[in-house]
This record gives sequence, structure tokens and C-alpha cells, in this order.
Amino acid sequence: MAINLKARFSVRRMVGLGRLALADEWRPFLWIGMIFFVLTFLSSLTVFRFSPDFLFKLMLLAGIMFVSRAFADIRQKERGTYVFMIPASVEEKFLIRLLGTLVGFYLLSVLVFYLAAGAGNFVSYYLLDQVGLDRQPPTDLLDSFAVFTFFHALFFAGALLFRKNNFFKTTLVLIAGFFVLLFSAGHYLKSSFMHGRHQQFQFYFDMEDGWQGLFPGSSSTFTLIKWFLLVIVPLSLYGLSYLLFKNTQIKK
Amino acid sequence: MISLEDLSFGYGHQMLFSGLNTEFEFGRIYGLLGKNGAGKTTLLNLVCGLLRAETGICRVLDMDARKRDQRMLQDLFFIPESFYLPPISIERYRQLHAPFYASFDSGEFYSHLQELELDRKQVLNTLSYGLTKRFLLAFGLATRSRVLLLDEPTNGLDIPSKRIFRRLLASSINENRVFIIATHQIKEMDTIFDNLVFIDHGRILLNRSLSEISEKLSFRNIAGAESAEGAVYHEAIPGGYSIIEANRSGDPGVVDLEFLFNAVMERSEELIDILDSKQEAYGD
Repeated sequence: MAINLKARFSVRRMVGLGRLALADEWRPFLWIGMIFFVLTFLSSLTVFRFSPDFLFKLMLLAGIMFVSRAFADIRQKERGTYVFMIPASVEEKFLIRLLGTLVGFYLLSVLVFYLAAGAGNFVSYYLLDQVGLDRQPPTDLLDSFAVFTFFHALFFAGALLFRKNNFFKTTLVLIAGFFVLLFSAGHYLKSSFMHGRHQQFQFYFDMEDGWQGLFPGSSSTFTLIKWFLLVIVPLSLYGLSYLLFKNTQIKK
Repeated sequence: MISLEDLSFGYGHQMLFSGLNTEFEFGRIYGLLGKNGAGKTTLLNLVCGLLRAETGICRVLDMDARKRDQRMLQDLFFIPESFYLPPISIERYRQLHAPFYASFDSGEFYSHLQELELDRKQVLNTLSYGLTKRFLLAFGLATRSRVLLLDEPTNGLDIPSKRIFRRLLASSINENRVFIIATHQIKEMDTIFDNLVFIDHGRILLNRSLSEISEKLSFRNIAGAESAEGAVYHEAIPGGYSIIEANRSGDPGVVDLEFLFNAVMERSEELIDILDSKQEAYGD
């Protein structure tokens, strides 16, 4: 069956949806931005001993909590009706929420961080005359975005899977998943040692790139795990989220 | 056109609609009438794609309503009984929402606002329920959507607003549009309906034009017990009976909608028999 892309995606409608989302959601964005601007600014002053980098990560954590309410509106009958009756495709409505909470929030965090850290450094250097402490912004933006995407995808799907308390429920699932993985890995290692396969393991550590191998015959196991966690898992979760969103009905 | 084909829908294990079939044609204002809990709002939600039928299909403008296609939504405006509106001014709402509707007419919108005594600077979430309904009507008509669905539209409207509401709807209908109004305020709306759809316990009991009903059914009051037994339906009133019988003259008479509603709820099959009969059968 041919897909009518023009009917599903239009830049004009996406911009329109973005404006609607901003008209509805600018307050929480502004509040989070302001709070972290002040905190990062203060931490950038050399008289304080907080790390601005830590605050950047804290802001991303706030973003994850923000993601949990990405679909709170469609859980209410009246607001759900309002959202679903807007003449835009399901794909556009889904994508605007995805981009707004992922790219939008991340860009806001970076902007707030650089502005606040820059302002803090300026005040430290010119007004307080204090130099010498390292207050540079983080350089691992791509890595932090990848990690943010992983958690975003998880809590984005959680926001659609669970009707109530989805942040806590998703956190529980995350912790449970972590323990299952840990248990499985432990079990695998134990059985490998018991069967004498441990000699085939390559516990190879590279000074530049860290751990490179674990399982027999593979020198890049950790790269594979990283790809799995940072690409395959988020993509699968976004796919699941889209299907859930597409099939959502208003509250009966 | 809107068509429901073998539509089934339920809440949990409780089926509301089972194999529902009916059509809504362009150029008409439909009155969707039924008791509380009959399924009027559910039917409108299914037409909008807000609820998904379990089996069967609801086609709106040749599109499956479940898909919520933007082309369908662009040509469909729904005014629900309870609604959410963002905390922005009327003018801002127009600026944000009008671009989604290809045929939106701002001139018409401002004209309706004036007629309904609304100011474009008013903030939506500070308006009373009745004023918000007026706003939605003004906006909905200005979208020039081909399908307009209204759920209990006169609830919360004062008497002058109800009059303006009826006038606006009657003047906006044309051969390319269809309006469906779900209501139990029959008396307030009886002058604008072209078709009546009676619904009860998830069944469409009757879907006929008002002109057909007035040509084939006769409504009158009789004194004492005179000939009430021969009527399709009768209700006791002080000093006699109100009756519905076959209209043997063929001249259209006045339809008492409330009385017809009661009759359809109790005697829909007999009424359908009369409506389906040819006029000649009642001659002489």
C-alpha cells in the first residue's frame, strides 16, 4: 500500500503544532530553564564549589522527569479530544512531542548551560577577579545526548504504557531490567567458568577506549552493547511508543 | 457522506453498538436523539475517530475514521459537551488554529463573534461555559468544515444565544455540509432539523427526514376516548388523548417532536411500518 507522505508530514503543520505546544507548555520549560540558569550561574562562580557539569546532567535528569508527562494531556478526556481533533496527522502529533522533549529539551539544556556558565565565568573573571579553577563547559555533548536519548526513549514509552505514576513505574522497570541483566550476565559467566570456557574470554582493556572485549571471539563486545543500548533499544522503544500513541483512544 | 457499516463497540464486556448501520447525507441537519446513556456521544466520538470501533467501519468523507487522517480532521469540526481550551485569547487561538483549516474564513469568524457578542481579546479559559460554547460555534462554522458535530450544543446557552445558534446553523448548512446535533433538548431545536435519528440502547430506531414524518404521520389531540385505540401511539392528556396515526390526507402537518420521541421509544416498529408504506395505501 502506497504511503501518502504529503498527507502524513507537512512542515507547515509541524510548525503549527510546535507553536501550539509552545503556547501550552512554555511555562514548565521556562521554569526549568530559569532554575538551572541560576544554579549553573552560581556554580560557575569560583566562590562556589559545585560542578556546572554536574548541574548540566541534573538538568537532563529533570528533562527525563518532564518526559514522563509528555502524554498526560491525552489521558484526560477533554484535553485528549482537543489534541486528537487538531487537523494534523498522528505521525506529526507524535513527532512533535518526540522532538520537543528530546531535541528541544536537550538544546534548551545546552543553551542554558553555556549562557549561565559563560555569565558565571565572566563575573568570576572581571568582577570577582578570581581565576584558576576549571569551570569549562562539558565537551562530551554527543555522549550525553546519546545517554539522554536512551533514558528519554524509556520514559517516553513509559508515559504511554502506564496511565498513572508512569515515572515511578518506568523507574521500577528500569531497575528490574538492570537486575535481570546483571543476574543473566553473572549466570553466564558462572556457567562459563564452570565449563572451562573462561580461557577464551578477552578481558582486554585499551587505555584510550576502555574495555574492549568480554565474550569469546569478540574484541568489541562493549561497542556492540553500547550500540544496542544507545541505538537499537531507543529506536525500538520509539516504535512501540508510536504504535501506542496511534491506538490511543480518549478516556471512555 | 458519513456511513456506519456493521459497527460494533462496547465498554469493557458491555456491548453498546452491535452491527450498527446508518448513513448521514450532505445538505442536512441531523438531530441525534435519545435518552441519557443511549449512545449519542459515543456515536459522535466514533465518527471523530476518538474511539475505535471493535468491528465494522465508520467512513467519514470516504476515510476510515479510526485513522484520524488529517484530511478528515480538516473537514470535520466537533464541539463536545465538555471541552478543554488553552489559556490564550480568542485572537491568539485563531492565529494558532486557523492555519490547520484550509478553508478557514477569518471574516466569517469575526462576524460570528460579533453576532455572538464575543470580543477577540477575551481569554478562553476565563469565559463562562456558555460563552465558550458560543466561541466554539463561531470557530467551527468559520472553519467551513463539511462535517460539523455538536454534542448537546444548547446546554449552557441563554435564550437569546439559542436563537442566534439556531439561526447560524440554519444559514450555514448547504449541499456540501452535514451537521449532526446530539441533544435531548428536542423542543429547542425542532425548527432546524431536516432529519431525525432516534437511538436507544445502541440501536438506531429510526432515521428519517422530518418532511417524510410530517407527510406520513399525523399528530393530534382528541377528546375523551374517541378512536384512541386505532392510533399507533397515544398518551393521556387532561380531557382526552394525544395520538399519532397514519396521515391519510397526505398534507404535511406539524410534528410534535417530544411526543414522537416517546412514540419511537415504545413503538418504533409500527411507526416504521407506516413510514415505509406507500402514500396511496392511505388514500380515501
